[in-house]
Amino acid sequence: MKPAPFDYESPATLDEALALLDRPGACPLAGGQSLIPSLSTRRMRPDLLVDLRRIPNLRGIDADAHSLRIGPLVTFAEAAASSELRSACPLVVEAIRHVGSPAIRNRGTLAGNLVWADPASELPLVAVALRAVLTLRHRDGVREVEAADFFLGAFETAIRPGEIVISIRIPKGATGARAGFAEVSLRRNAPALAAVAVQIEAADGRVRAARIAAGSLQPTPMRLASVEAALEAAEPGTDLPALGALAAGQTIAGLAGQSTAGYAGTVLPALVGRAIASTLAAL
Amino acid sequence: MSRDTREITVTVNGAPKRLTVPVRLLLSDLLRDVLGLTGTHVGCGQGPCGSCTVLADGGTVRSCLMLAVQADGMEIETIEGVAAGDGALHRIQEAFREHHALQCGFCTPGIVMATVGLLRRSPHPSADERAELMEGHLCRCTGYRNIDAALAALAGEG
Ligand SMILES: Cc1cc2nc3c(=O)[nH]c(=O)nc-3n(C[C@@H](O)[C@@H](O)[C@@H](O)COP(=O)(O)OP(=O)(O)OC[C@H]3O[C@@H](n4cnc5c(N)ncnc54)[C@H](O)[C@@H]3O)c2cc1C
Ligand code: FES
Ligand code: FES
Repeated sequence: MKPAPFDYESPATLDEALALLDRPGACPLAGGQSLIPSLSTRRMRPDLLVDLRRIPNLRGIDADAHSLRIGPLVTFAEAAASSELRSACPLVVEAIRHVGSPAIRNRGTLAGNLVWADPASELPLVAVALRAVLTLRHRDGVREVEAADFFLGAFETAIRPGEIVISIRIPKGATGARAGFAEVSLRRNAPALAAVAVQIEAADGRVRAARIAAGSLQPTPMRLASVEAALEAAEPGTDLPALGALAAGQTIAGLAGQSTAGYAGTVLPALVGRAIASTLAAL
Repeated sequence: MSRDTREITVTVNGAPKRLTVPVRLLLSDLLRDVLGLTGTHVGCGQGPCGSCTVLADGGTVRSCLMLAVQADGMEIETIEGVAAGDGALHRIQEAFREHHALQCGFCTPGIVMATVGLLRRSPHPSADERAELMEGHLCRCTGYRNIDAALAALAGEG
């Protein structure tokens, strides 16, 4: 058998799961699309896998007036098929089109993807762009962490041993929000070498709110606040892709000295321009 | 060596089975090594190649990326269940033969299972839907064109 030996539990309640996860060497299992490949290569050798699949109330997408809550067992395929996500957070649906292949999307979860925190993943930059908030449960309590504070490095997050994500909350965009996603990768669905996510709310020819982040260029997602601000200040009729590309170029100039700065300087403005253009085409 | 086993109930190609399996057994190894269903091929064991694709509760999954215990309570369909009981080929298999959509056949069971899943959801898949299906499968022989010709014929465009 490929994986090294481990113990396995599939508790029926959240409390039981949290008690099990408090043991040293315990690790949650959701869709397994990152974890199982690592078990098979034995890069990971957890002592105990705690399968979350039987726990009630971890599935489904709920809406209130201001936000959508995505349960931790919601798969990419379920999220992509959600009409609520499509209208209130179109960027999530747009980004999922770039994740893996249909069979991977049928099993993999958004929460698992965020916790894995691969710098080449699409969902972390979307979570940062949209100001998502993760709710983390531990047997001793609950806390909320903003996506921007959640990602600490490549494959490294603010989650502590024994904690699990119990919801991902994303503020709703205004009706008519549109999204665009642009990436460079060796093949469609191969890990991104660089990616840009954009969601725009516009009215009367003006950008009311812009949400923009870049991924893969550094260990954690990069929110492009100056590009967001430039778009929001633009007069009607401005060439927004060109403006965004210019602002992105200036942001990158500020990163001079980082190993990726050379590549990023070339690719980021182009991707920002492209992602904004595809967003506007959808408006 | 395995520390732990579990009893699971799975339906495989319509037949319910109650099995005691090591918790670290992969679904692909359950199918091949325990149940003798070697039509499900294992290429990479890591997710990209798609040769191990089966249907679980009607949706495509990588059997190399599921533990057998995760299939507890599920209905699994493999390539062995596709042709009719008398051995007559399924129309998907006929279309693959007709269009020379396979050479060595290593990738074929996975692609056929994905096609079974796609045609159930979408009986006349568009070119985009067919391209999306192929994103999940590597074929070292055919160059993909004949596979798409078979899929196009099945979609009613042939
Ligand atoms: C062939 C292939 C292609 C892929 N392509 C892409 C791609 O293009 N883009 C991309 O972004 N990803 C890609 N992925 C990875 C992506 O599918 C996974 O990152 C995602 O599915 C993880 O979610 P999961 O539910 O499968 O998590 P699992 O594999 O079950 O778990 C992943 C990690 O998260 C932890 N975890 C899971 N759920 C929770 C929770 N609720 N609370 C706390 N910890 C938790 C686990 O302990 C583990 O450390 C690909 C994977 C494969 C196999
Ligand atoms: S063997 Fe499962 S995807 Fe390659
Ligand atoms: S026919 Fe040989 S790999 Fe596809």
